[in-house]
Parts: sequence; structure tokens; C-alpha cells
Amino acid sequence: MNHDDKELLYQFKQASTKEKAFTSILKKYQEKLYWHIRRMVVTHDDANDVLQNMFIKVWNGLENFREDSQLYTWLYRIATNESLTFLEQQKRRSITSFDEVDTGLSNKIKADEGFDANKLEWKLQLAIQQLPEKQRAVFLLRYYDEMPYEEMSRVLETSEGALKASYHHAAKKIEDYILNH
Amino acid sequence: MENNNRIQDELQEISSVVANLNRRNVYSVPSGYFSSLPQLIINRITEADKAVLPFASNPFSVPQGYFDGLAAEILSKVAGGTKAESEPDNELAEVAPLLASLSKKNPYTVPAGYFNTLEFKQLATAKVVKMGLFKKITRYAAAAVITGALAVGGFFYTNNNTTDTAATSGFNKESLQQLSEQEIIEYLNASAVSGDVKGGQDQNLLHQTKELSDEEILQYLNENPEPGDAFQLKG
Repeated sequence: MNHDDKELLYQFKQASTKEKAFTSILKKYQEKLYWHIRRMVVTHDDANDVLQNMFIKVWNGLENFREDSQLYTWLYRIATNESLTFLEQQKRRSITSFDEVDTGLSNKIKADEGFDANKLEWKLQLAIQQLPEKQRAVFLLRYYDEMPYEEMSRVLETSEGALKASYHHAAKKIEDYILNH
Repeated sequence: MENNNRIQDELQEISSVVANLNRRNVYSVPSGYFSSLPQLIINRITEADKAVLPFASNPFSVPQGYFDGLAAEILSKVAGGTKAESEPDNELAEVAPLLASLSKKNPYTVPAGYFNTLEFKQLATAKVVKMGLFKKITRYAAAAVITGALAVGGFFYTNNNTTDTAATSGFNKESLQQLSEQEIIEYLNASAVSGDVKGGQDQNLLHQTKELSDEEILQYLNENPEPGDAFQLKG
């Protein structure tokens, strides 16, 4: 674990510096975690809800963090799990099939004020939403956050081999979507 | 940087199309969102912490007039005035909102006055047969049948043995009646010599038999018939 994070964890465990340390951790990781969540759930409001819930869990659980991985790995794990839980809840609330929930996410992308169907970067977002949730997380962590497979296996609790295969399939599916739409 | 190049090379191998896409962020964020986010979260945490801080006296509060109207509210819910929110209702709303929104009104009807005229008397006097008693009887009957079968089988078995013994030994009452006195004497003499006398008599008895006269032997046989013998040796 890097020195800064170790120091922040130590300060968090002291009552007098707990809030200050937490704020520092927030400021350090909030944007990376926000964008990871946002690409999973699409809209700002949903991403905001998930992010805030996620950091409240961090506040409650950081004292018991065993430091057997990097702090950011642990944070990404909570963020990913919260996003997946959110999507699962959306699926249950919806009276339609999961395919139509995916269509719902695609519609949310198209509803974004900056959406432009002709631009490849928007097509990429639409393509990403076609992926199964966990595969989506694998692709996002590797493609945008450039996370090593070793760290990713701790985030997603999946073997490195499975993650490599999943990333390979995800990239192929995205390529197919972009070439055919 | 090395890691970035490696990841880019990896993607280039899988899909050159995806590898060459622009990674520009397409989503927008409200202005000042990230600067205000930490305080927003701290405020939420602080409010949550305040709710669980210990107090010397009762820390909980209830809305004014809560208990005054509580009885009436519960009674109205029991009467079906308001749909009370129960844990099963909340659970159903989460799992299947469409089903939760459906009315629980009973669609079935019964004839007018049905429950008033239901003949409970008949039900009260109905014969109740304990399944336990039937099982008991069946068990005893089965035991009796098996015992009977064994007894009958045993009887026939022993009977057959007796009959067979009689048949195989060649000892036939009818044939004995047809025998003459001389033939019996000759048989006895021959048996005595060979020692092949029924029951295996010893030599002393054989010797005694030789010394007996014919009249004495006949008399003996008439005085001591075999069980079931109904004949008398002709003198």
C-alpha cells in the first residue's frame, strides 16, 4: 500500500483526525469512482446515489479494512458491488425482462443532452450497455481505469484467466456492435 | 506508462477497431459537483451518527398526539379502511410490484345464507374411524395367518412323514392279515438270526425267542398287538 494511503488510514483510525482523513480519501478517489459508477448506471442522479451510498459504507467499514490489498482496490470493489446491486434492484423493480432493462439504459444514453448517434464515442457507450453487467465492469476497469488483472481479480473476486477471457469477449462484442450499427 | 502501453497493445491484438476509438468522456457532470460532494457525504454521515448517540434519558421521540389517535387508526386498518403496510407487503412490492398493486378482493361467491345453514350436526355425528385401530387389526390378522399357515404346514409335514415311513418300510396291515402263522414264524426266525429285528434287539432276547414254542409266540403276539392292529393271528 502506498505511503499516502497508509497515512490516511492511520489518521482515520484516530478519533481526532477521522473526519479529516475521510474527507481526504473522498477528494482523492471521488472522481475515479464516480466515473466508474456512471459508466455502469449511465445517469448522473443514479451515479450520485450509488456513490454516496458507497462512501457511507466506506465510512462504516474502513476501520476494519485489513490492508491486505490497496485502498483503491477495496474502494473499487465497494463501488462495483454497489453498482451491480443497484442494477439488480432496477431489474427487479422493472416488470419487463432484463433485455428491456438494458434497452432502458440505452434509452438513458440517447436521452443525454450531448448525445450524438453519429459519433463513435457515443456508439461505444451504447455498445458497452449491451454487455452483461459483470463483463461490463471488467471492460470498464481495463479500458478506462487501466487496472491490472491482478488488482481486478481482487475487485471482482474472479480469477485472472477468467477476467482476460471476459475482456477479450467484451472487446469483440463491442467491435461487432460498432461495425453493425 | 508501461502498463498503459501493454493494455493498448493487448486491445490492439483483440480488436483494432476498439483500440483506435476515441476515449473522450461523453458524459457531463453538474458544475461544482465534485467540490461539494465531500461535505454532502460528511453531512449525511453526521446526521446518521447523531441518531445513534447515547442519551441519559429516552433518546426517541414520537410525533405530537401520536398515542391519542393510535387506537382509532389501528381499528380502521383492521376494518379494512386503509391498507396496512406489513413486512410481507413491502417484500412483495420490492420483488413483484405489479402483483403488489393488485387488489386482494375475493373474486369467489357463496350462496346467500350458506354459512348460517351449514349442517354442522351431521359433521359432529359422523363416524370417525381411527386409522390406528385398523392398522392394529391388520397386524394381528397377519400374525394369525402366518401362525396358522405354519401350523398347518407343520401338521401336513409330520403327517406325510408318518405315512411315508409306513409306506416305505413295506409294513402294511392288510398284508399282515394275509400272512399265515408259519410265514410269521419263519420271518421272526430269520430276523433273529440276522439281527435285523425292528428296534435292534440284543442277542439275549434272540436266544430267548428261539427257546419259545410256536403256541407261546402266538399267544404273546395276541396279547401284545401293535397299536392300531385289528387282526388276530390265525392259530
